[in-house]
Amino acid sequence: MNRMRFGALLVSEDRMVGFYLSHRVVLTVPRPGVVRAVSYEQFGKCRVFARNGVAIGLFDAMIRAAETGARFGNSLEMVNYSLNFPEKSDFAFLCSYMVQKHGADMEDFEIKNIQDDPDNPTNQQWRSEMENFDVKKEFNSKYEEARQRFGKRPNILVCGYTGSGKSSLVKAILGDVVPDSAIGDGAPKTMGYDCYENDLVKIWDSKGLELGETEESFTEETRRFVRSRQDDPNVDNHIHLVWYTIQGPGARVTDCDKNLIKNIFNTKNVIVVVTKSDITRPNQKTALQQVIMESGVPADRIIFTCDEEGGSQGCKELMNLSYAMLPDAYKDAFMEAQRIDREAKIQAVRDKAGKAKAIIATATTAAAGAGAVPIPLSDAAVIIPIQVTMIASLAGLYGLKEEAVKQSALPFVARLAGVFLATSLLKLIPGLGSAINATVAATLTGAMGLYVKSNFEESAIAKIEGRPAPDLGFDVELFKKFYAEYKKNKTEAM
Amino acid sequence: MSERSQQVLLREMILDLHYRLRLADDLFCNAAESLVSAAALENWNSRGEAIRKIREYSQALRIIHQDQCRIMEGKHAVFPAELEEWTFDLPDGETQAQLHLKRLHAIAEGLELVLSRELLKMEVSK
Repeated sequence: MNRMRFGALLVSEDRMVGFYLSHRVVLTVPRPGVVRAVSYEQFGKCRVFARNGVAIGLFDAMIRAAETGARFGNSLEMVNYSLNFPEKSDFAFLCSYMVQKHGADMEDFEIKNIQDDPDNPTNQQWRSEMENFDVKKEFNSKYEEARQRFGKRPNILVCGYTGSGKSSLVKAILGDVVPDSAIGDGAPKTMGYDCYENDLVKIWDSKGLELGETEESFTEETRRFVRSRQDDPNVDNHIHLVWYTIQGPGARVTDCDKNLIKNIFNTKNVIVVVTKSDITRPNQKTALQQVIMESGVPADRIIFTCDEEGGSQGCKELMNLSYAMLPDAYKDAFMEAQRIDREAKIQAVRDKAGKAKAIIATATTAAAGAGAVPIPLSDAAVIIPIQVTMIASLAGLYGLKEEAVKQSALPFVARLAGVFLATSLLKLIPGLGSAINATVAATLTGAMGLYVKSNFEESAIAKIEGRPAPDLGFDVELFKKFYAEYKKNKTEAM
Repeated sequence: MSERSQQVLLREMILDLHYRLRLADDLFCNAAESLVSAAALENWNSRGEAIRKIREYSQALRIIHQDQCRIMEGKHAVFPAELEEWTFDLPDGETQAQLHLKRLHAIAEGLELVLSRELLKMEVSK
């Protein structure tokens, strides 16, 4: 900054001299003739005799050079004239004069590029886009993307004879994903698979497998169904886990059961659930386990469950085993969907800190890039889309459902946008909203990310514990705390 | 030098002052960020850093103002006295520093406004 003053003396690599007139042009004598303004491109890489006071003294000399109509042989003659030097003074004389008279050193000189030139059409287009930026629409779109990324729904196929307790099992573990009307009285139904789904999980519930003549056709129907799913190029449509139910008191594993478990489903993806174990005798359990193991299912993947007052026995083990067996991408949604183990669910929320950190780090880097050039005209609006994406991604990660987003997160984002678009930042620094740079953009985004992550984590846990979600209103003091944390130890703070 | 040439030189210098004001915005950002930081962290280093950056911004504006006065007539801006190292030790130190920065920013806006008016006048008289 200090070196940019009207009249500062510039020296090019080939010893052409000139006066700083502006960031665009230098006053010099590019070829024999009168004084001309030439661009820095033409003038070439140069150095400057700096010090504030120097340029003040040289300003009049520059004006004198500009006003004269005299013809000069070269730029040095122009300087000799304007500084009243002896006519044939050389470059060494000039240097010695600058050092002795003004105490000026020669320093490197470069024009800093400002990209957000108001005359630049690209920037005008960008501003126009910013004016039309729809926070709500952008948030919803990014939220959906995040749900696709972080909340991949597992497909769980539940198979077993009619009345073996499939629907009740699903209800015990995943809640109301299967409607009550689907839990029948054991009466035969049409053959095939019913699909029940919510935001977190998709259940394929078999129907119509009866002892006797339907077994063969059911097996064939299942073979076709499984093949069609597993042949789908999109792995999200594959069957990720099979719960195969066998009624305990019947103490019988049919050939159809064995065939389905061993040949139709991949035994590696199958958990066999023996239901109604409370009314199954111990010797029946042992016998059942033995036969199931002969079908290729190891003992630790045979779970005995029963409905008892105060909770369903065995369901926690089934849940934990299912969580362990599901591919990683589908674990989060399953953990969120299950209603058996609250502690595990809370722990899973806390375990999302690593992913949250990655989201915040990405946004922080992007914000630093966006603010690499100070943007004085459009406030901090440039970082709002980045922050909206960050907040939407965090909302998606923590599984704030649509309603929660509408009730809390979205108004929060709108308020956030308001904060940045207003002329003040958090009432702390009046005027900060009128300009932003890389450091500020990155630091504010990082602190904002920590603040939002903390809020969303709290909301997600409150939801699990059945408490009302905390207010996501903007708390200045709390934000200051997160800012301090972020500033103190940037990444570790997350 | 012809009047037209003078106008061309003047316009070039006004554009340069505009450019320098925009560079100064960067310094303003640094100063403001340091001030937010000092307010949040409340430690000696961050306060010292904030004062240093505010002064840097102030110096840049003063130079721009001096150059502006050199090429244009008009009222001179009144800069607030430089902040002292111990400003933050005062009971209302944080507020004083904020007001100081706000004042400097207002001066920058004022300078820009004057330059824009001058440019507009030149465009109209063309």
